[in-house]
Amino acid sequence: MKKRTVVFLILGLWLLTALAVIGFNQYTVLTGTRVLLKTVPIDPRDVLRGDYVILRYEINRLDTNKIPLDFDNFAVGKKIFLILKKENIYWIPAEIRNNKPEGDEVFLTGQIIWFYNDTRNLEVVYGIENYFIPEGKGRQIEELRGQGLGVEVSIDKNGRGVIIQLYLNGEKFIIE
Amino acid sequence: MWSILRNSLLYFLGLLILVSVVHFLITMIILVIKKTSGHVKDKTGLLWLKKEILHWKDKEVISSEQADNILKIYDYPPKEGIKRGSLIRVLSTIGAVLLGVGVILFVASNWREISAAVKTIMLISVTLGTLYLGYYFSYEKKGLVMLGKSLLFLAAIFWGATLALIGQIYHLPTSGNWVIFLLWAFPILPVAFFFESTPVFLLSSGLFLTWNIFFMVSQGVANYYYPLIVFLILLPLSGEKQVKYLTNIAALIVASFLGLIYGYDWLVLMISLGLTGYYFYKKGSQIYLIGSCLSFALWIISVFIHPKPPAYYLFFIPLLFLFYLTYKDKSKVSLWINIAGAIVGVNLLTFSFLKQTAFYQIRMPFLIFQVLLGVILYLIGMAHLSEKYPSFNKTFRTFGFILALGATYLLSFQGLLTIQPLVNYNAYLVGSFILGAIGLLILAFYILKKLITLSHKIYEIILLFLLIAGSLSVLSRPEYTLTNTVIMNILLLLFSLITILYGFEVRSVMVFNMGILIFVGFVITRYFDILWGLLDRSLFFMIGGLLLILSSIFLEKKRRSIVKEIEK
Repeated sequence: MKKRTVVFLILGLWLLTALAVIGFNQYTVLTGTRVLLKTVPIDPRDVLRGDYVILRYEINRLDTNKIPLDFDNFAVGKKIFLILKKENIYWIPAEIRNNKPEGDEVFLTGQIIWFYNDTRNLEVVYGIENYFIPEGKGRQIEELRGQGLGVEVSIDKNGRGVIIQLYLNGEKFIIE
Repeated sequence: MWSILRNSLLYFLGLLILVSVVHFLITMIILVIKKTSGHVKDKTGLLWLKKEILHWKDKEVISSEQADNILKIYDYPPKEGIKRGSLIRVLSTIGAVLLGVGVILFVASNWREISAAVKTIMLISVTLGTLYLGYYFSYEKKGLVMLGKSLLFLAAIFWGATLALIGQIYHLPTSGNWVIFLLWAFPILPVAFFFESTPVFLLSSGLFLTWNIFFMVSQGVANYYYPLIVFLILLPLSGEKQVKYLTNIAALIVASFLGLIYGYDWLVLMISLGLTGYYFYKKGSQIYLIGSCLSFALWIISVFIHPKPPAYYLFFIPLLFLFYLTYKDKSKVSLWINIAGAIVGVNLLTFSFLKQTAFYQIRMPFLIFQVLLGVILYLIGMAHLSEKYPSFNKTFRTFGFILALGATYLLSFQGLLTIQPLVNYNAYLVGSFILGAIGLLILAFYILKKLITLSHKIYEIILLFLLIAGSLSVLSRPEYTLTNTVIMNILLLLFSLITILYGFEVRSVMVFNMGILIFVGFVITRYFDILWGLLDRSLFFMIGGLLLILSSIFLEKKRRSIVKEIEK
């Protein structure tokens, strides 16, 4: 194969890969259901790492005593499907499923990272726990976590979420 | 409308800045290349001189030998001229790395003035442009190959920056995001292969390893794909280029080590097996065997730390096979690794029989076991009678000597010989007696076969026999701590004396000095051990210092005269 052909093939491959990554995320943004999730305060020692803020949601900790669920195998690393329902402006957990829901429910796919034996609480991550911000603006957002800071997330029908923007007390929040 | 206009303006502005930065760098690099290849320019008149000398030679004014000698005076051709090429390569690669890091940091700083879409388009076009320029300078335009190669590497870094930017726009989490490393590593492999770029290949190999680490840590499962990728893609692509396959073998060892820590023993075994396979495929390239032995030693440890019975009792079968390959290949390094692996394996196996026993409770039988293990290793070393494996003989005996000596030294302390009652150490007891019996059998075999006729061999035999007898007697009557301490100290003293005599006999200064060293160590240790509690501190140090100085003068004098005699 001629080197000239090869370079154009590689250029094509890179362009396609980049477009595929963008398309994969843009699909979630465009086709997904917009939900507003409530943040909770976070251990202040867990401060800004580089240029993003660590977000913590109410749904990161799931109380299996209160939320109905259809399985009891809480292995760390296991996938779960959290069905959400709207209550006032925020979306809250409705049900935890073992298998991917087939109906029209809005659900997030998460991964169990810890199970508390004493309280029977699940610690789950959904891949929406980082928010990238302009350099030096981290402190401002960190102090708002749990103080009415909400996050608008677009969830596609595979349960994948992508952060759209931040809300403060129900209003769009624009970083100054 | 206004925002589109503003964005496209900013896009062009940003592109302009980037292009001018790249242009500036290219100019600088070309300048450096021209400067460093300066010996072509006739700065010191050397070229002129050379021409004249050759002219004289042709006219037979001087002989060709004289011509060479004259040229040598002027150090012609300049020696460093050969190295300059690699210097330029290193410098331009470092330059590319710095530039790449700069771009990544620029992206990471989240410059807000331009919108996400514009930033993405900018970075993608710069990345693709750099790749094309790299190709252009490497193959189309002659004379700037090195620049082309460093631009190719730069493009590979920019590609990572592009992915990072896209991830950032969609707020994809950084921690546990292993996909991005795969998306970075795979598409740059064709660049490494088709455009023969070693730095890009190494970058890709490093990224695959990073992916492996992220994958294992975030998913909590063994990553069997990684060894597959290395064995099926990266190692075949490495070809005969040493730095490429060495990097990947090293990466595999790192992966084995991680497997050991996380308890994925099948993964470690898979790596060892794959490397053995490659060893055959490459028709006995020793480095693969070494890698295989190393990951196998790691496997032995991992399988005992995270026990999954019953397969692990059979670890010695593959180990014997690796020993066989080591002998076939006469590979010294893999012999070292295999012996170390065998020592660790035998110990872990024995220890695994003593469930729920704290290590400090069984340290005495453990150390006795090491003495006997050392004896066996030494005996195996002595069995290498033929001249076929001269260094193997030495390796086994060195291992055995160090193991037995170290354990004997530790056992000469009374504190380490005391044993708590009602502690179960049967496994070490049985193990020690088995080792002792094997040792005695081998010794008897040597003597009966009259393999030992030389006097220095008799020294070895005596010491080995005493070590077996002494340690077994200590082990069989552990309650007589005082007698046992005396026995072990006599053994240590004999160790030193016989080493000295042996060194004298075989005319080896090193062995002789070793014996002296053991003796000095013995005296100092016992002085501290026994008199520390009895004497007044100041007196203790004064007497000790005085004794040390006097005896060292005496010993050194004796030692030198004997060493001189040996060297004669």
